[in-house]
Amino acid sequence: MNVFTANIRHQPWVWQVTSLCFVLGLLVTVSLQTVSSIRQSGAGTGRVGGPPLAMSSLSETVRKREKEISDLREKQTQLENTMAHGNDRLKTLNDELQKTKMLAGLTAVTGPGIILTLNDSARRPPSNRAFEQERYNIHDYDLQTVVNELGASGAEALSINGQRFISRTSIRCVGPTILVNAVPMTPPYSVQAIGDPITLAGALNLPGGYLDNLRQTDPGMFRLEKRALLSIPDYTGSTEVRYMRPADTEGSSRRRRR
Amino acid sequence: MRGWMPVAGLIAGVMLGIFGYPLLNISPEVASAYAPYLSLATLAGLDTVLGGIRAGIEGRFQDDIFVSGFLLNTLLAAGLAFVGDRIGVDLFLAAVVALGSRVFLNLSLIRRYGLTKIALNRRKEGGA
Repeated sequence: MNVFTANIRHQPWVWQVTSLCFVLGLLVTVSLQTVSSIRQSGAGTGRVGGPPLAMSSLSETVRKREKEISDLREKQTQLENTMAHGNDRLKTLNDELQKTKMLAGLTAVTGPGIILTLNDSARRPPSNRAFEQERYNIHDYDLQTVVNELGASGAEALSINGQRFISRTSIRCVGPTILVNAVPMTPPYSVQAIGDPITLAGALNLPGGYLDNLRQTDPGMFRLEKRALLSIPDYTGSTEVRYMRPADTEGSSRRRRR
Repeated sequence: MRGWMPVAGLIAGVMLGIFGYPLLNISPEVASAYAPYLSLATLAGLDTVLGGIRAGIEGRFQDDIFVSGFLLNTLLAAGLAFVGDRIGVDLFLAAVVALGSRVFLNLSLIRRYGLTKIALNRRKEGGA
């Protein structure tokens, strides 16, 4: 017994409703699969004009521009080297310049070091209390601690998920992401450091140190690898300076002061 | 038995969607551009199907109105979404609300006709 049986005898509309139902089923399925494929790719929910759409195309643009900056800076280094070629005084100056740029993080560098990969725990926290739950995720202060520890043990170059850590870098938490150099990133976080691998790994593994604490929570939250050779990219952000200038040496100070 | 034809059609459509979609191999970037329009088309399709069933039960079914209604509703909904996207107002909400309320209206009428019919048949059987 159903809604249709009495009325539908010898009537054509059932066939048409059927064919449109076929189209409807197709639409529903394709729609569902489209949205789930978008969710998986992390591009957003696929709503009209939503920020996720703009976000994915903008971040593509940003990536291209960063590559451009990196290429241009590399070209500048090459030109500086060419200019200094054959002239001893220029060569001395240029050597100093290249060393300074390397220290400032404006050139990609390679050397021995460690890679520390940090990830949120897959385990369930044993209780619902906030401080318990907090320990099972990686936070901005975790990255700050690690970077600080690595710096204290002689790391010469640092990067987090490909973002070079320089003197102006900040690490902070915004919602579910961590901003490094104002670039949002999500777990896993890969901290790369150039320095003596044994010293760096030893510093992180100190009893009562960072990894020791993390290991008590969940050893699966980190992976520490020593590398004989790893490369760390250059800083691709802005180098604009608006407020600071070299501190005046005596004599020139009076002239420059307004 | 013919009453279940639309259900069979729906299942066939779902099957084609499930097995056909991976073959198309659409990238998520492209998909995210047309996903909202697809959702609106789905809603328009649902509205038309329920409207058709309701008209059929009422004996007022006309095939030209049925098909043109589906095409025009879909186009208008997609057009609203597109224009709304351009001018920064969520105009597609208008289509969602209008089509959604009609879906519920049609569904409630179909349910009413069906229940009435069942009740009438019961009474007939009980009387005989």
